[in-house]
Amino acid sequence: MPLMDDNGQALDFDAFIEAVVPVREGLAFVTTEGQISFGGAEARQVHDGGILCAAAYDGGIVTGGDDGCVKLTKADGTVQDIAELPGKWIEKITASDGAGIAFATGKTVHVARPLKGVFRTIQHDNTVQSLAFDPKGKRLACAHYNGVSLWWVNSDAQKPLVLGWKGAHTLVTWSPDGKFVMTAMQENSLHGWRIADLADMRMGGYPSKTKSVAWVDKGKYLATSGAEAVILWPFTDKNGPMGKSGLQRFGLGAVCTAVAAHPKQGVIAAGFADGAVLLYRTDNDQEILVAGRTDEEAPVSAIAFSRDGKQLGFGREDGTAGLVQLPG
Amino acid sequence: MSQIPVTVLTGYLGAGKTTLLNRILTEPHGKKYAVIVNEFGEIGIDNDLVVDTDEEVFEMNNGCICCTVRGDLIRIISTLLKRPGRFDGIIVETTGLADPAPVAQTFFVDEDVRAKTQLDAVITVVDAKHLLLRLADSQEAQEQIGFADIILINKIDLVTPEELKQVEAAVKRINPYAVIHYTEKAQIDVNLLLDRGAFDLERILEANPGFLAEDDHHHHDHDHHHHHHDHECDEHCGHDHDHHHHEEHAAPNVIHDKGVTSVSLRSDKPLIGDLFTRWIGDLTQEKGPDILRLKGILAFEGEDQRFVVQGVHMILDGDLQKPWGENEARVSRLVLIGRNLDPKDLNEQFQACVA
Repeated sequence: MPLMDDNGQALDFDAFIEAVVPVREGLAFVTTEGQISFGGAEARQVHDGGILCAAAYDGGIVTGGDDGCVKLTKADGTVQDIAELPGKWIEKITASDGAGIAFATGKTVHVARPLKGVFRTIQHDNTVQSLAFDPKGKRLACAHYNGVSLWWVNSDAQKPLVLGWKGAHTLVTWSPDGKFVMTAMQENSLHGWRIADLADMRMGGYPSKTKSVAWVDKGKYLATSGAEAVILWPFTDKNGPMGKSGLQRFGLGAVCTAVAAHPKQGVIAAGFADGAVLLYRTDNDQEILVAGRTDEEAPVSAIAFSRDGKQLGFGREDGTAGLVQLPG
Repeated sequence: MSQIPVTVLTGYLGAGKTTLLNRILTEPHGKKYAVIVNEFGEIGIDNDLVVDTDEEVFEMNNGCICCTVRGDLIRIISTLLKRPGRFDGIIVETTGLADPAPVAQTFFVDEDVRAKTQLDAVITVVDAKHLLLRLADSQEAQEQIGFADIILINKIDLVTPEELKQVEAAVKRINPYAVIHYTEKAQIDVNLLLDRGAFDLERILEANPGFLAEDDHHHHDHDHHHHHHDHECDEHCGHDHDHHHHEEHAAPNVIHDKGVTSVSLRSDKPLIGDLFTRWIGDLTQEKGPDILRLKGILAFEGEDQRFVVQGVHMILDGDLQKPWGENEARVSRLVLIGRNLDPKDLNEQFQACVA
């Protein structure tokens, strides 16, 4: 019996679910049609157009749209304008409660804070395809063609530290200890750097692009989408995954499209291309079916745990979604 | 999920691309198009589905030296497709100096774009007045014609009938298989350009039964191709259709030796599938940088379905598709458009695959 049947609430937003984001009150669902729903309540139109990216910030959600706006929305109904760049698409966003909100439009990255507005603008030679703050919120990683640029947020240094590697880097993430920067690439592979000595690592074997990653159990593993099972890369010593193999974990045959890690335990949630959702415990290899494959086989496009770990939310490309109360 | 058709619009600076684009966006054809452009300011239309981009060419690290894709297109198309229902098709305008290969390869190489879109046609607009000069000094101008499924010879009001014949001969020398339309101020029925399935080989054959089906000397002497393509002119073509003496008028030295040409190969006997796929694989590995486009429909021994192959540089896409008709002649045909193609060598290699 899938967990959704007993403990879940089925939702339908009739629009591609761009993101599920942990907020102070639980989880929020973000659609590409510019709407946000808190906890499955009726979706509210926030952008005059589509939402292209979303991130958690200050208990609410920051979103970037094709209307050129960056907005901070809270569950109490307040919507705050963070920035407006008419005619631009805000394609990527990341946020850190300490550092602020970073968003990218083309080759330009802006860093802003509510009320203060944009306080830092950074130019790159190529389009920025992904952004990530380090765990302390001091450094910003900007992934682009041929590498990743690392910038100190509160400095006006004109030159970044560039982690170079040929090819297009489409996703970037820091390990929770800040010692590794990992990217997903256009060529169905991952790349990584150990910051201490800039040692390179390359991880391949994916049949399709990795579009979602999550650090599991305080950074013991990096869980990745893009294969017919969730692939976990071990980060259990100072060498990270160097010289090790990826562990093929759970799956039912369809390509994994989205992953999320429980905030407190070694538990992973994963969504698949056929619409199915699974939970997996790393300590005892137990798998729990959250939702079976759907008749429409709409891929899972977003998945997240709430901050207290008591809820799991997921959404699919066809707008169907689920909000599940997790057993203790 | 149905695939969204994508039309790629190329053409040298000043050929009339923007005029054509404005026409497509304003004429009442009942369809909505998302348009990806590089020179935003020139589009005189207020339309929230016009997206401005910087062309960003990515080399792929897949062991293939000429494999490039347009990173900006991958991003923009993926984003547009998250809100389907707003448009019926996508039009990509390239800059005048652009090599069309990365655009076309994007639709073969990127899994997301490939799954959700279908390259409908590459349309190249050429300026009748200046084309011969462009061909002489610009590699891109030749490649844009070599890549085309549909060619608009524009500004025909600015040239004499004699000059137009030279232009037409030059175009057909590079690419005898594209459908040609003749226009003034890019005036054309939009339905002749969009949602044509022109990149789809089957459709080309249906729409144009003479395609590749000529007499035997065809594959030995590609200079004579354009004798047989009079019917590609549509009703917009107001000039004399007597093409039989083009060679003498066509200023053969305008295009230098390294110019883009085409080679057509044909066999009435079935091929051995393994031999052919190995040969075409080796050929594209070895000569990929020189091959702009290749298209073919092949009959394999012991196989009741047609093998349809197409390629861009080193990227090959081949598949068994729909059975041969009961009374249909199982003729294998292959066309290559590119540089440094030796028709004699290629024909020998092709014929060596015959069962």
